[in-house]
Amino acid sequence: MRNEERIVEVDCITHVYPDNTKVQICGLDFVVNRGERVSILGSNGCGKTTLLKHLMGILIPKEGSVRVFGTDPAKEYSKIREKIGVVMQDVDEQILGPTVYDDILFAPLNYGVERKKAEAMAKEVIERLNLETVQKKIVNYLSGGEKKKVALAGALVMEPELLILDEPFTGLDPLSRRELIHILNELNREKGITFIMTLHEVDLVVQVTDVLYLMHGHGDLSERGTPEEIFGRFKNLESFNLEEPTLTRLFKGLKEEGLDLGEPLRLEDAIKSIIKHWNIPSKRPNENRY
Amino acid sequence: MSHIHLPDGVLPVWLWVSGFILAILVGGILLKLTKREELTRRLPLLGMMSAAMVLGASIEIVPIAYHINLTIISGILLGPTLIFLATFVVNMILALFGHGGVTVIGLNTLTLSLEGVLGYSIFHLLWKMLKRLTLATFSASFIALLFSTLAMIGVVSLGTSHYKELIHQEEGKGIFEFKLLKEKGEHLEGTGEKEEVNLKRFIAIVLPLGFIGWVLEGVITSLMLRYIYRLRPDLLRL
Amino acid sequence: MIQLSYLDYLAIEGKSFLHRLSPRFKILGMVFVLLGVVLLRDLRGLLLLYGILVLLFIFIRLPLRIFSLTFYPLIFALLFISVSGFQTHFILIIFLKVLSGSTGIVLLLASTPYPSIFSTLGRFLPSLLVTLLFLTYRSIFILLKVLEETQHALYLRGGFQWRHPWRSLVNISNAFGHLIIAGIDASERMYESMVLRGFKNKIHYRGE
Repeated sequence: MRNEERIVEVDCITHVYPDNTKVQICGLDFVVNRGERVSILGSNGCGKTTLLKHLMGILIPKEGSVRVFGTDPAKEYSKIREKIGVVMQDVDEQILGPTVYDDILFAPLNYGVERKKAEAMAKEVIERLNLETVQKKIVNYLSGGEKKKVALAGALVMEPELLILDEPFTGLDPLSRRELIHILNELNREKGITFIMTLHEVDLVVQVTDVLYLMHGHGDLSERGTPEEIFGRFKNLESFNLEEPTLTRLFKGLKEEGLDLGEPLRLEDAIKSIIKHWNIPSKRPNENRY
Repeated sequence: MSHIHLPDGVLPVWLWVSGFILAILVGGILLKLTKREELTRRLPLLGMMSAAMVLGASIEIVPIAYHINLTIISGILLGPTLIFLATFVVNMILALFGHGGVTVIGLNTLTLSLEGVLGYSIFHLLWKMLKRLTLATFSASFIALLFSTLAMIGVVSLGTSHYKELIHQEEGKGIFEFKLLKEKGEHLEGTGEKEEVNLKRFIAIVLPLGFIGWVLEGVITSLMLRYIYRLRPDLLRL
Repeated sequence: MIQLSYLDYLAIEGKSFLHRLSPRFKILGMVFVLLGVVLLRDLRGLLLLYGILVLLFIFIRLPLRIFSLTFYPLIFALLFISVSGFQTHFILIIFLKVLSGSTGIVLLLASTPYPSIFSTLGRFLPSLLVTLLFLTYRSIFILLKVLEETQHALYLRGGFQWRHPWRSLVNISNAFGHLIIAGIDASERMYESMVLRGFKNKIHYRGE
């Protein structure tokens, strides 16, 4: 669900850290339209989290401009705060309530939402994220995956228009990762929530991304496009300290051996390509089980 | 032990009640002097430093119940106003798992925060004069702990008449301590040396034991601050 | 410090009648215990009080290792009895008083999840203080993770050995320095989260 309304615009910002490290997030303008799922791929220390913190208004750029929902978040975050949900990289410091339920209620009660309504909002998000069995648990005893879901619930309870996620899949087991991908895509499809996320997992990009940015060095935003466009130029990826997606490497290897089956990025496309090449009748022609 | 937490049941009622009143008064004044926004801004830091102090109080370095006391470092990092609030919270939480009394939270807060405040003040004074981190830290820790131990001894000594009554306790003379009015002509029987309160003996035991703790604490605090200064000198605001 | 998380765990997982009792009644009970501790001066009365508390401890099947927590105040008591002529009666009174106080409070914490305790206290204490209590308790668990990992690392890499006392002291001090820096960094991130989630001045607890 995408339209052309720009909700985030970042124009060549410079930030200087207390230890005098300078980060310049420049190159391409960072632009996000409503309803897009935007991912930022880059190596460690290239400035991905710095960019996100500017969007949240936590960091103030020394030069350049940041606009989120038409507002400078560093100056007027309170005006747009309720429209934005955030899931940080380390969720431990983000979970503040004594129990899961209390933590989910944290933001609505802070914003003055009436208790009954806040509880209804919490109930909805608990059901959506399957947190019923842990809602009374004290947060100190949750597993890593559960904490991520609780942090996500806390971010979603106010029904934000924009969700910012910093490496949301780090530390999750494959099942939890799949569950999270499913939830995020469902939210984007059904509620039109825009996502901006940073991640390392190249293989996941194609499942959660409409627009991909590549960042390298110290904030150099040098590539923007769909995952297919960017990974199609896969010979450039090593220079970003990134590995190509597994499927890309596989089909590239096959191509070098003389078997050109194209450049599928999704598992279902790869299976279709193989089946088509060998004329194998598909047992499930219409089902996208992958 | 560089710092001993007073338990429940030892001190007279008027003393620990006064401790609470004084602690609340001091806390109230300090809160009034601190801007609300500043306090809200520093709440997580307060929580973390209080948590660090609780953790330090729970880990035995030497098995005679000697534990690291992070009050002085917290005082240096938080400043004199916030350290008071932090020590109040620390004493409340420590009291919850039997590490110090509930009724004496006020008194424990006053003695513990004295460490933090003195530690902060002496450290900054010595740093200005000497510009030697280790010496300033060690001296500040040693002096602060000395004074807080003296304060604890002072607090204990205020209850002398109460201890006398307990020592002279006779069977069947009433199960409660609390007397609203002393009976006329009442006097304590028994004037032998054994039945007198001997604070000198108490001090003679506490001070040498404390001395070992102050030296150890001074060394550890200096090493810690040296580490912090190497990695994050901005935290010390020197 | 493992004891604190273990106490917390016991408070949540316990199923005894004391665990099921309302936090308000338990706190009220603790108030009575404290009243007994400070006002009683008769040995029989104190023995009765301590006996009841110990029996409660046994009855609700709390582990023995938690019982050792109640002995901490004896450190002060052992020093304090020197003010007297070491009369048996005085020693017993002091020991029973401090032990009754600590046993009562450990019973409270081992049978009541801390959010319930803080929330009940919130009826009498300023909300800022209660918020700080919640934040501190949460921070303890965050720092505990850091501390445990550092302890393991020290242990696995020979960082703490009795035959190298000075080196060990330096390592322990550095470990605590690391803990403090990690804590301060974590507190910054915590503050960012609080602001992002509209924190004003209170952490709410449903109070179950």
